[in-house]
Amino acid sequence: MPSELRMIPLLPLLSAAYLILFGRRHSRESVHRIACLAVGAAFLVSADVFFFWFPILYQSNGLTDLVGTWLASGDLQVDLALRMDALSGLMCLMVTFVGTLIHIYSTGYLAHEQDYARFFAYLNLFCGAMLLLVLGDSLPVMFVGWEGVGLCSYLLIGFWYGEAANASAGKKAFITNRVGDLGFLIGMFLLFRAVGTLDIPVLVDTARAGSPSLTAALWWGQPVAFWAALFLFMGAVGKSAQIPLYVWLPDAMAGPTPVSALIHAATMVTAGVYMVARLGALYLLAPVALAIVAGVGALTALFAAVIALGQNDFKKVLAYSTISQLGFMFVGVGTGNFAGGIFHLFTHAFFKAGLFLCAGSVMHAMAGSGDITRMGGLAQKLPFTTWVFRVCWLAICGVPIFSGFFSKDAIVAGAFATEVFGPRLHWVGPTLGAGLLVAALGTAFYMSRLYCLVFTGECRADLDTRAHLHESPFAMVGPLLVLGLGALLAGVMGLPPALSRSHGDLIGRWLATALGRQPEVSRALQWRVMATSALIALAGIGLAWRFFGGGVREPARRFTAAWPHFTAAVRGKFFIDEIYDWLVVRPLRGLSRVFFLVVDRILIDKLLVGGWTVLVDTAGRLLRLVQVGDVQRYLAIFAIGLAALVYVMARPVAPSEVKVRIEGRSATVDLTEGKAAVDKLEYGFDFDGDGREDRVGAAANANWLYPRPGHYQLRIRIKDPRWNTSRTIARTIDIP
Amino acid sequence: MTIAAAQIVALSPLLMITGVGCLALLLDTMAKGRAPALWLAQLGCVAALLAVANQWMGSGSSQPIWSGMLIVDRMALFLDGVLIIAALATLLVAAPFMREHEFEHGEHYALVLFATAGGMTVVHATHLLSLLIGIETMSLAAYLLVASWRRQPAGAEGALKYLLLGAFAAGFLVYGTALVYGTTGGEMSYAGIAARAARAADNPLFIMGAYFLLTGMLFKIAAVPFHMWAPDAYEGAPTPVTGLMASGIKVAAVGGLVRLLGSAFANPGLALGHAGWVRVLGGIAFATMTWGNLAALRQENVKRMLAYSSIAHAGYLMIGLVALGQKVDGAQPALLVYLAAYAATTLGVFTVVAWVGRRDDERLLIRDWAGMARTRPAVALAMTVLLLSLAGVPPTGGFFGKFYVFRAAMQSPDLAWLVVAAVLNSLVSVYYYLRIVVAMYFRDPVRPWQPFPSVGMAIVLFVTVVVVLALGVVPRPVVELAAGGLVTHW
Amino acid sequence: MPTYAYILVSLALFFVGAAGVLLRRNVLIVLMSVEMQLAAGTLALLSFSRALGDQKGHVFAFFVMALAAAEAAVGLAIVVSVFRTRRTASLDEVNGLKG
Repeated sequence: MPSELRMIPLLPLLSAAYLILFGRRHSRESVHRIACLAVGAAFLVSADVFFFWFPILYQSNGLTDLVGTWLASGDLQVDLALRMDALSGLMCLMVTFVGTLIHIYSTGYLAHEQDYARFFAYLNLFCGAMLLLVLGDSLPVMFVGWEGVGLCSYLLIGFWYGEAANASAGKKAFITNRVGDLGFLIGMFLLFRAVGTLDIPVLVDTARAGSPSLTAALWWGQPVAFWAALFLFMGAVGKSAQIPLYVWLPDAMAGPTPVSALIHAATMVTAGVYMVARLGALYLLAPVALAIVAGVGALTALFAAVIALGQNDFKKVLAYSTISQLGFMFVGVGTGNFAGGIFHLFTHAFFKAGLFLCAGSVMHAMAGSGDITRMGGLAQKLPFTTWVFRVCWLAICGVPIFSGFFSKDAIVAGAFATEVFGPRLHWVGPTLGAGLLVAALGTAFYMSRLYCLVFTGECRADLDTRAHLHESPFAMVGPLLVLGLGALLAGVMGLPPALSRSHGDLIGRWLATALGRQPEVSRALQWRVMATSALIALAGIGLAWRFFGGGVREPARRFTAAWPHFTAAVRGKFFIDEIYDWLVVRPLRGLSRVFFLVVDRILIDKLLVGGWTVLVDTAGRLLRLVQVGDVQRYLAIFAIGLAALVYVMARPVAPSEVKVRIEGRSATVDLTEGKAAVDKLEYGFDFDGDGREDRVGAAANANWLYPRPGHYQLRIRIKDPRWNTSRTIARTIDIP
Repeated sequence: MTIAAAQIVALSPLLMITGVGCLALLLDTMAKGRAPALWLAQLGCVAALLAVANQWMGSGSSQPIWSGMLIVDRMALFLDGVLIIAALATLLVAAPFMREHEFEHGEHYALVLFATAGGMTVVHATHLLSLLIGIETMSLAAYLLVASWRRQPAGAEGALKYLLLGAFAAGFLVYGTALVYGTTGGEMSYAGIAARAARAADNPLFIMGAYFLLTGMLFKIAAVPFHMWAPDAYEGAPTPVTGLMASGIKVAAVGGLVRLLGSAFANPGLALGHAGWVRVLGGIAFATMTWGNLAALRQENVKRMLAYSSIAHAGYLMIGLVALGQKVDGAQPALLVYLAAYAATTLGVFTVVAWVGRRDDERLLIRDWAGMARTRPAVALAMTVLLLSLAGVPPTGGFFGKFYVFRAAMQSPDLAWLVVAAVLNSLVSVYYYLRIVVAMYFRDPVRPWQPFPSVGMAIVLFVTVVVVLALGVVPRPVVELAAGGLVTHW
Repeated sequence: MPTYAYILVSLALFFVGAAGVLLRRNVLIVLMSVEMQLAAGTLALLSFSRALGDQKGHVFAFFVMALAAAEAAVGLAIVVSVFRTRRTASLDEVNGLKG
């Protein structure tokens, strides 16, 4: 087995360690040479392994590189092992490829940065951790990578720590992610308890076999698989910024733009999708969990798309767009269409990284400002950037031929056709599909709005900025062009079979061994979805052009004010603009504002995230008040605590089960089964609620014949004669 | 009672530490300067470590010593190792610290060794008498160590509070012993108590006695509500002493509890009262970690924050004790791994705290740490790793300690809630640990800062960081040691 | 006299000692109250030992006495140290560390 597998994460990690320790001693050139070479070499190694072992990756469950036994205690043995199979191989290539491009881009983008070595060290560290996450053969190894990427994200968001907002954005990201990690850990423990191992292939095999250890009911009648899947998904929700834990991602845009492209668009945030796909077999055992995954995904896709409509910061629009696209991917994996989700992950990596790098290039030209209301007409000044942006924009909108079109369709068609939810939840799939189509319309609209406001029309920037507009250096433009090419062509991997019988759905067939069966989509449905989504994409673009083509168009109401009758009677065209404005734009803008303000800022920021903080914080303050400094107060708390302890132990506990059997007018009460382990108790039964105990003694059961039917109070007193303590339980009895 | 040579050898680590402590005290009065006593103490620690290793290699079986007063087994030797290393680290850090702050006493070194000897007695004890002797030797030395910085009023105050509460707890320990002794019909050894406990459990005085004993021990690990001394004593003590209290003394007390709960009260039918001691201990564990974490949130003083953090860690440790009570397989090794990781992390953290302060400028507030990453990146990085370990973020020893303990507890269905609460708690804890990281990395320095040069501190810091990372990346050797085996790999 | 009478006396002594620790504000008296608790433990040990005809309780009692002496010595040293910095032996004023 190829031991060069370990080189893939190791190369960037070593480079990171070296740069952290000795980076300051090197010139800028050698720093970025080391960093880029490390990631580039990792890409070459992964490509080498990938293509050399191509058939094996495809047919079996891949190659393992066993580095050693990592930990072994009792029945737990975790190997430090890396595995490259069809899925992780693909991810590995993508991460190293995009990573290399973004490293190169950063050499241009951060050319004026002071802390050059630190930045590249973190970036390398991130790549290493991400590769560990992707290649890890067991959940603990994956978790180390999972935490590692979170840490790097935190470090890089706060990279420009001069501004307080950046540091706090980093902290927000870290803490929000920890909420998700809590779920990941619990899911891991549950799986270990049920299956006894944390090796991913073994877990997947166990799940595929439908082992009773996973299908046994755990809590509330749901199987172990459901709970484990749900808790693991909680981790995915944090890492992949889904409702309700998405709040950190928009703030994370405070970091340098290459970081946003690499970590917060192309790789790290997709880790949740990857994890769900990886453990797909487990999710297939729990249709309800799948429905939750897909439901959360669809809701996020819609919701973030609506919020993106009203954002005026370049990177914020892209951030919400990322959240929305991640939602698409979760619908993909949540409908059992794992290959579809991964396909979209892939194309998204290209076009979203491209979009972010374009944003960086634009902001570079605009002296760091990302306010799109101050841009416009940049197409002439930044020709390369504009062309790449156009390609990526058409890709994300889902215009035919471009990659996003095919991957989005794969998800939507899969949602309509899926059967994983079973007969009781069969309506879920089509509902989600329809929801995604609406989200796609929103996507096309806000992305086109972004394009129009930034690149078309007159430049609205001040003269000073306008004078300095320039295309970025080659180090930045080069990677852009490559990504643009990817955004254009990556769709080839997943052409719908309806288009090309022989070369259709390459990615689905490639991943078939690794991911298992996929939903069958009929050719008719493929054609219908393609047609609908192409129409939707064009409609969205057209609508946006109407409003924003060449800058914000002269509001129609000024025309109506000047020539009201003329407009109203003769030129219905402006009327339509008005109607558009009232029926579509304003409600959407309003809704977008409401969502943003009420849900995002108040409900989630203040209550969900902030509410807990306030609660915890208040508790912290109160506890500090207890610590008054007076030693005798401490002694008193000591004594009271001990007294309470002894009291708790001395008082009989309530029996866990009180059996009452009624036969005619006779009632039998039995505490034997639920009584505590302690013997020598006395039981007093007062059957008719008159305050007199009708049966007293050591027996934990008694019966009583009621003289007449009615409603009675039953009181049972359990007494421990040694301590002279007792506890009373009450029940009501109805004698018919 | 016969004292055989073999028993002396088996107990040699403990005897060496005690003897060297006495010698250091003598040497300090006779020799010039403080250096001879320090060197003697350090050499004694190294020699005792070698003796521990020798015992470990020598025999695998456990060996009762002095008619069952003490026992030498793998767990005790493991904890001996941890305690001696903690003592050595404390010596290495305390010497430059005291020189910098100008209060160097030779007795200080002897007292560190006495406290360690007491702690070792506790983890070896299988008899209430040896337990009492161990606990009190450890505590009396600790009171004096807390008070040793005479110019500092806070030191004397912290020591007074520690002493009064400690003496109060000792009263309960003694009275509990008397009650257990009387109600079991004259038993004081753990084995004897275990044999008679089932019959004695009907007697309320026995149950009261058992809880008095447990309270005396829980006081030492600073479990709520017996924890009130900890923040004040930790803050008042000279920083290296705080490190020793948070690592060595806590390790010893947990070791003593493992023995007490694992043998004297281990009878499965022994509920010790109506609710059962397992459930009550679970409740205390929950209260301890929650209280510790919440109270740490608003602290401005680093030492005080770490004191509350150490209370929270006592809560996590108690989850392991509860799992032990539930007869979960692997609970004991899990606890030992946790203790080792926690001790290493704590020692490292307090080394940094000790190093940050200069004469008349102790720099104990979080805001004093601003911008440390710029002037001393290596120290800041080390501190970050250690804090992440305290928070339980992989790949650090702190993560694996928690991982093992929680995993053990998860095997008992009754404890799942406790694990969930603990994970939530460690989530809260991230917040206050990050405050220090944020100050170090994301704030501009307020005042220029240069730590005093010290090889000892650098060594301790380096070693603890390496150990913490190694425990996170390759925990296997320590896991094997904790499980009582010889290390077979690497 | 039966054993339980001794035990009752020792219990009473113990709780009186505890009350003294909790309620008296003078450090020295608090320390004396702690000693009283230890003495109560000693009494209980001795009476049990006597009743059971077992020597272990007697031995333990000696150790408790040694412990009480050591605790008193250390306690007084610390009280002196507190007194030197604060000029008082009352617990009312020893509350600089809090929060």
